[in-house]
Amino acid sequence: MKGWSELLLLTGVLVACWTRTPVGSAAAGAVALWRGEEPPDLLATFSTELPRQMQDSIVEVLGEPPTSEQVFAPLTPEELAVGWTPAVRTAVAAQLGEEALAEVLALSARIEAEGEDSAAVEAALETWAVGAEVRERAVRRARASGEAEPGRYASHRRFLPDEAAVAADEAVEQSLALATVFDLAWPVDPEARVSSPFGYRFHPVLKTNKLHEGVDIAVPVGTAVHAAGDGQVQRARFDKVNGNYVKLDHGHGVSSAYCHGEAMHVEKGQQVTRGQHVMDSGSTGRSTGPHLHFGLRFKGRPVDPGPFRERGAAAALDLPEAPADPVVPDEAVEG
Amino acid sequence: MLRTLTRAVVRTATTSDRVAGGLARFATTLGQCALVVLGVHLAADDLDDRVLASLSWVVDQADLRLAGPVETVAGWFGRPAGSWQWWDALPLGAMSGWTALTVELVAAGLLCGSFLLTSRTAQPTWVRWKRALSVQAVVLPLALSGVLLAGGWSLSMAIEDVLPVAEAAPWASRAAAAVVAFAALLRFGLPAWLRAVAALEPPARWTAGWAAAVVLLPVGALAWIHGVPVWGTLRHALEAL
Repeated sequence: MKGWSELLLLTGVLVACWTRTPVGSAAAGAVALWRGEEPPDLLATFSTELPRQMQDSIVEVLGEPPTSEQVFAPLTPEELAVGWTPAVRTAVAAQLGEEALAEVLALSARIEAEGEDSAAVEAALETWAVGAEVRERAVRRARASGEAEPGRYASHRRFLPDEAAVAADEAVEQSLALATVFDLAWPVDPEARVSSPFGYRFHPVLKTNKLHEGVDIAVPVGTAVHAAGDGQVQRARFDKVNGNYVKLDHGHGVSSAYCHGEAMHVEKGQQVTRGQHVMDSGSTGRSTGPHLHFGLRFKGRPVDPGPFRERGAAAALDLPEAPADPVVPDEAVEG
Repeated sequence: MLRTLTRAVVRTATTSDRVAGGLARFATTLGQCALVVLGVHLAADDLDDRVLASLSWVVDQADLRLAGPVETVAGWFGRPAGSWQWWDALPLGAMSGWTALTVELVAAGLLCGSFLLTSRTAQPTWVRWKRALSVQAVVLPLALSGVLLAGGWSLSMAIEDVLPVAEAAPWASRAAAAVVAFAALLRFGLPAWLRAVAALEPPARWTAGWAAAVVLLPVGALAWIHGVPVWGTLRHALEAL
């Protein structure tokens, strides 16, 4: 049966090439075009490509975030035991549903008990999405290829089968991104007036309709601005538009920006914790009055931080009192 | 009657086996190219991540160093500064993906082209290789060997992924995948490498093949580093010692 085994081997190599490489995608695309169907994406076989629809769906969730009562509801002993935060619990429920929550929690407890190196929440979410055996395969492959932290999702994602990787992205990447966002607090006193909300507006300086990629908060010069969440300082610099400008990377594709400050108290690369004093507000850059521009981005796309305003009240931060009468015009500044 | 039936079955099996074998041998070059394409893609997937990281660094540096001057120049023309910071709107994911894909296709073309029109039975010799010594004669065998090994591993992962997960014997699917990978490397990988090396011609200058090396070196290096599943095992073994 040498001939048959040779033919079987050849078929296996060709099928693998067809299903796992862009060359195969191109061949499949040619067949699809010939049949009048939609050709597959040539970049779909690359592991870093985040499907656009995933970003859209998460932006949709961010548009109607859960209330503070939901996010800051007390944790159960089981949740505390595996190191969950309220934001993680709320994000998992929002992304995967209440039924999945109990399953992921049980998996977290099991993984924690097994003493695995990687983050238990991440591992539990992935195991829930793809199964323990498939995850273990990917971890083993990453370890064999010499990855430094094979247990981490980012290190072994490329070794998952395509469908499993998509399912795991939805469970792991999106849940943890949501948890990161849900954990953010308002950078100044939430009672301070929002003078210009997120969205398209007629720009007072440029005299044109322009997307305002954040919110302007009316606070006097010198008001302490706090980090909205844990993260790393990505930028801390002055430019003519944003003035003194601090950008924080919170991980999982979430970043926040604080503009027009009077003085900065952090440096690029520095780690900050939620509530840390990062800047004094001011009116530097393209600004017609004292205010803080607060922006929030997910995977580089601006999202409205406005719905998270009430979160600040429950963030247990040592925030200063809101000024009685901030001197800021309503439509004053460049975003 | 039974003997006649047995003979007929044996004859049919033998004939069909001969036909299948002939078909497989006829398409051997296709299988060799497919193994190369699989290995190159494993390296290109890693290249994609590295290009994305490099682009992000470049954009960060551009933002740090160019933002000020660009705002000043934009101010001279009465333009809002933000609109001239073109690097902020760059689709880095797509850029890295298309870069990796281009490199992948060029590398796959070069590697498959190195043996595509050569004799299937040619054998390289040390003396012939020394006569052909050039950039190409060094880079091609090294890159091709890494890519073929990576192709074998990629094939074994594909086989393992389609086999049903045997909870009672999880090693069974791994063993089957390894057997298929080794068989593919012996049946397609080794002959492809021998064909490519045997086809090296004495060059006009030792620098011959430097342009191809620009593409083959990173692909070959990444294939060796991340496409050959031994380094992690070796590191663990060394740590254990």
